[in-house]
Amino acid sequence: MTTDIDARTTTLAVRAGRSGSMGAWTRHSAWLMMRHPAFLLGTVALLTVWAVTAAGDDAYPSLTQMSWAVQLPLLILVGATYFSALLTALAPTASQPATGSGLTRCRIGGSSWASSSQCWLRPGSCAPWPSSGSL
Amino acid sequence: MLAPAGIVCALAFLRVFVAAQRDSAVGAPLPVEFLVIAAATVLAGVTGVTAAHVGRSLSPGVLVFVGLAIACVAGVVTQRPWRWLTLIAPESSFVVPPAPSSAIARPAVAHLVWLLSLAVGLAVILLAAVGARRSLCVLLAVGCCLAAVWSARVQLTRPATMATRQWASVDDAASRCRSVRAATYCALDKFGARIPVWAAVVDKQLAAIPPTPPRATIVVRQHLPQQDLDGSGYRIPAGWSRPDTGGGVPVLVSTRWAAPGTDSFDQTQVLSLALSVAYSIVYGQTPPIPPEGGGTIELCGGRGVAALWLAAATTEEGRSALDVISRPSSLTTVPIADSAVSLTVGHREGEVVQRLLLDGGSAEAVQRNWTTLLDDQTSVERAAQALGVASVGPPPEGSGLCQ
Repeated sequence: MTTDIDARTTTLAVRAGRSGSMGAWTRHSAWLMMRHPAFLLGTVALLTVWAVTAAGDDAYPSLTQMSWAVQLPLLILVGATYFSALLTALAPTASQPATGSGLTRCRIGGSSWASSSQCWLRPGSCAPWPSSGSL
Repeated sequence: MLAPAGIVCALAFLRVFVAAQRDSAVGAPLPVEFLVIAAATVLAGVTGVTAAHVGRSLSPGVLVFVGLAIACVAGVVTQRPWRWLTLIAPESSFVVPPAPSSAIARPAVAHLVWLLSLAVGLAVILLAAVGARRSLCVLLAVGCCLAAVWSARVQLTRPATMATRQWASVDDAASRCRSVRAATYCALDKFGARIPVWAAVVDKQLAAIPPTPPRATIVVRQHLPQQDLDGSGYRIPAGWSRPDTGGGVPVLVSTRWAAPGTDSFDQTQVLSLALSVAYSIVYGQTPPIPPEGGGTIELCGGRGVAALWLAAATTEEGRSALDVISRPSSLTTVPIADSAVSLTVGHREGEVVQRLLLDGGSAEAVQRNWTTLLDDQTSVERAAQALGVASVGPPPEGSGLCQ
């Protein structure tokens, strides 16, 4: 869905948790968290520790049976990749401001996120704003 | 999503690399399986994007994830060929023992092609949705369909006995024999790291018995079991006892092994080797494998007590394995080299040995009564009396073992 918003006159954002749905808040938070460099680095660091320490658990490791598929932490990372891609694709997309008429117009589309009137734009631009607030 | 795929691939490699640095590591991994995990990660990412574009909200995406998770769990718990059509397809370590790389029949290449064809197929749907060139989409779709059909056919028609046939040839081709002190050890390719551990078991048993006249050399031979054509069980390969190493007494050893103290199913094979070696010492021959491929070899009376004591009391490995195996049941029974043939010690013989182990200072008593124990006329009651074990209970009702 695509929505034209008059950024000068319209108060777009609705503070999540007050009148927005919990699902949208969760989606927004999870998306932000998973994109955060500290989260990614922490995840990779933890999994690296796991890879090194778990491999030392077995005194007689059989390399032919060390199938990746039975290793839960790797599957968690595969699942995280799925949700990261899902949430990123569901996140709102915004065009550059259309200027010239005295209005800052943002075109938001690409998901129900925009249609549910629960998205946030950085003031004066069309970039997504990572917290609640108003234009 | 290529970055997560690379990270997952690197982590899997790191895990295997670290494990491979251990002196006791055996076997070699299949390199293509590292690419499989990268392909699975890419497929997960493409599936997420597709679910978002098709579903337009979070709920369908969650449902797709739940469906994938269920498929993965189903693929893990079954051993049917269709499990290869899921994201993951591990082989049960209970069903398939460790094996040399050349004997592994996992269709890893077909699985890789399957996952990639699914990922590209979903990407084509996305490309078509955003208006990519129709001819390009059609070309890619046809290619994906052909690759998916080919890989699915390979995975679904993988013969259940393929591994068995390969294992049989690997047994003879890959065995490498090496003499260590009093015995000879023949290990499959990439399993040579186990020889020092086996040698410790044999050496300590031989050191625990009184000096005896020269005996035939024990030849410990590693074998993979052969699965019956009907898939009902595993049998000892035909001709396994062929005296191809100078006429010694052959003893079978599995590809499984476990460290002392680990609560592992593989402890059965630790005790199996220890008990097989003890059998060859006590009985002076190799365990008589039934020609039909299945059955029980009973260890009874004084000789049964002596064999189990040698297996359990002389090494930490044997003691630990007996603890793990006898915990759920008072019956000590272990399959020989993962086969349907088992070595089974009588209930009361096991009870005598457990009491000796609790006593701690039994080695001297066993050595003093060694000749008595090895007499085939020595009953378990007589053995218990000679070893100073107060009394043994009556045999369990209904048990025909050692009667």
